[in-house]
Amino acid sequence: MTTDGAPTEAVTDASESPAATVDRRPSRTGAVLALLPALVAALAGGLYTWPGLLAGVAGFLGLVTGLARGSRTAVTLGAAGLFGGAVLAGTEGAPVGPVLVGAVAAVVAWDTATTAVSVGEQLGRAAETRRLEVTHALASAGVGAVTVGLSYGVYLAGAGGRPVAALLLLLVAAVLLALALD
Amino acid sequence: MNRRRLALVAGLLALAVGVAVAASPGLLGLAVDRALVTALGVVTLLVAVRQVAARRGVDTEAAVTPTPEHRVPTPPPGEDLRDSLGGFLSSGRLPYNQAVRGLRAAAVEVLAQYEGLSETEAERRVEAGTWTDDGYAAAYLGGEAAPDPPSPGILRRAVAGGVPKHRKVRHTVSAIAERAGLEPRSEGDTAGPPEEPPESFSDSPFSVTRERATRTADGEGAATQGGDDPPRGAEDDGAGTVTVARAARATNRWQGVGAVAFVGIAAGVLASEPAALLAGAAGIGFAAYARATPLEPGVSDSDDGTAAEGLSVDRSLDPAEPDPGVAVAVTVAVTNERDRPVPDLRVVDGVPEALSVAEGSPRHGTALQAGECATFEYEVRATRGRHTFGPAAVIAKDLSGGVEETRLVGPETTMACRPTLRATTEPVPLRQRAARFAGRVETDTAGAGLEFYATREYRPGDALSRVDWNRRARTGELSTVEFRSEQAATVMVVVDARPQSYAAPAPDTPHALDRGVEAAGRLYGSLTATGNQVGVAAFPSVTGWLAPGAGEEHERRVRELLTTHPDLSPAPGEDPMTVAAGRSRLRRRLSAGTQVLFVSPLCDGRGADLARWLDEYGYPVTVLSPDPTADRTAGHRLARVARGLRLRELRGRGVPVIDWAADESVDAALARSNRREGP
Repeated sequence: MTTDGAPTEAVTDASESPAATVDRRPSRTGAVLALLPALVAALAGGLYTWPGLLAGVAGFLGLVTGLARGSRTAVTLGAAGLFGGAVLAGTEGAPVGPVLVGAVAAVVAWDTATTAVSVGEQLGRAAETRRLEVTHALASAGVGAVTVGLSYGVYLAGAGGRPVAALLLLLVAAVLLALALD
Repeated sequence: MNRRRLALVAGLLALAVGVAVAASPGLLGLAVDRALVTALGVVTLLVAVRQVAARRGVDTEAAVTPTPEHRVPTPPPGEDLRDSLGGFLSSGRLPYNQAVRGLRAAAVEVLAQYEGLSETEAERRVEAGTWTDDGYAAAYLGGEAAPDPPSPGILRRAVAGGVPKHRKVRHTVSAIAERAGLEPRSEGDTAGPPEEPPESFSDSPFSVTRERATRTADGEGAATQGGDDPPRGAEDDGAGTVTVARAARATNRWQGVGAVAFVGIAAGVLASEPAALLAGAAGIGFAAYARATPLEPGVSDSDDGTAAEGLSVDRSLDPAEPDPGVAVAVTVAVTNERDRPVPDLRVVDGVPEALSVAEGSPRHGTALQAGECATFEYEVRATRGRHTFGPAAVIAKDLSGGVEETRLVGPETTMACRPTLRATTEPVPLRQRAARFAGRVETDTAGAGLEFYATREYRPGDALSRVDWNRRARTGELSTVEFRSEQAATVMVVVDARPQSYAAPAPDTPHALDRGVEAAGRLYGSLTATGNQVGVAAFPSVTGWLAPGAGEEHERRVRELLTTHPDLSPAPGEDPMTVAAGRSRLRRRLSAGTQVLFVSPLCDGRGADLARWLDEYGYPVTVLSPDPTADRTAGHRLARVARGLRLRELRGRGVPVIDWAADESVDAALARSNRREGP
């Protein structure tokens, strides 16, 4: 048994039979649901600055690739690109509203896209999964909307001559709280 | 946990001081330095990097679902070339590095059998390389004197160091097959290789239901398949059993979402832009969502149980007792019996091992309100045998997908598909042999019967009705007509149910045992219709035996045996008995003079040995051999050559063999055989 380490596969013809396997690529519904927020994210940041547009488009393409091939890594990198685009637009002076919406949309796109990948892996493309994915995407979008609303409210309330030290302390608080949550 | 609490306390403290400073400026006489702000930004960025890196460390593995769509693989003989090579040396499997030895034996045997050469002459030709036109093959098996192989070309010699071994093997096998008169079949494009179980299969919690499919002998039972949590035992709740296949656990899919917040904050601080700062808020919002999802299954919900617990699965089949080949609609209903919704529900039904899904998908994903029910439907094509639908695998998740639990829920549903015992359109060729009852076997002796045989001189005592009166009127002589004597046979149809019979040329064609069992039913119908006593047996089985008989009750029992006997199960099971034990058992039970119709694919030497052995012991044997061989790889082809040799050898010893190709009906095979053997 130990002497026959030879490649027996090499002797067999390596022709694939698509009929014999389940199509485990991400579901179509999930892909469409993920591309909507991805488009929003790419546009929200990209309309204001060139670097933002560049990062946004690259991120969008990454997400599309990930959805086509069922790769979580590509989806995550793509979503990171979308988010990076929004942040870049923010650092170059884009208005608060679109940047906030773009960043949140990037996270929603990631959530929906990875769910589509997971549904593809566990159930495959042939299964009926619309209700599951729409539920998930709606919940994610709801969380995003609440986040945008609250953040924008805080921004409006905080605008105006507050001392920088207070802002700094609040930031430290935000970082520590986020650490505690994660 | 401790560090988390520390961060929480410090964060709340900073928040309080910050709010206080914002409310009354001057409370803290701190001159904020630009360098301090930059330092904060850099530290935040570092924290973000750490968050991303931390994702690598956690277990983000999701539950793996089974693939019940397709039948358990039944590969054709020779799937492993080493088995085919060993077939010519009677030494079991042969290592690949001894391929030359096995191929030489094959070439010599083929030359000896098909070209009528003596063994030494065949060996001499192989040694000299004159047995084939194929240069690679001749050189590969030949000795010193053999011709040189064709030059492989400069590039190949430089890069690969000559012709690769597998190519030489393929050439040689093709040359041997050509000598054995086997036409290559053009099936390479249409039929793929038999399906392999998914790679991650052995990690799957569902390996329980399909572990025989993988034929892995790792000995891991159901108890250890659940990964970190063994099944908690079954609980009966009316709708069948519920087994926890994988306990509720964090999927960790949101791990590292905090990095989004830190990157935003760092960018905002470093660039002094509130917009970028606020982008970080997205991270905080979703981190909170991931941690505080309202619908968590399984987490310390002792009184309410977990999300998957309140689920029940119901299955109905239409029709419940189908005939072979009929499409059966399977309707699965999943009900959420709890008072809380299940936001993410994924169901994979437990399709029987030996059935393939014909239409639709046995998978479904949905979200269920409290008390709501979802149904889905798919179709399977019924095949002979008793099939059991296992419990469905149910994966329930919470709204954010952060927690996941897998259970096997639902009843087992059994579907019995009984073969028809419809008589074959062609008579079954039995061996000529006298027996005690009138029946189907035509003898070469004159006696009572229907068919004219001869006339002879009248002897006193001959019945008046048998006198040839026409002749008497013509010539005045008294003569008596004799008819061909027809006698009944006692026939035992023995189906070879060893694991070797679970072989099919392509993934979606029936395997040799299914074809054999179907044929056994039809042979029974045909033979009993012509007055024979017929029994049915599985070889080598302890209990699969039905003594020869006829009549309605006997027919019912034959049908039942062919449908439900575990040794004739449509999915491969354990080896029931050794060949030797089965053989002596068979001999003890066969009464003298019984004809044996042996249904075997003859995929290995032992099937042929049994046929020969029975014949030598005085049971006239006829072999019906469903051909399961394929022609895609060198191994398949070599196995085909070996089977051809076995058929030839049996026929040479006077045992009639009916070769039944995979793409023809048993009637066609019988017709072909009757034409050849016919008058």
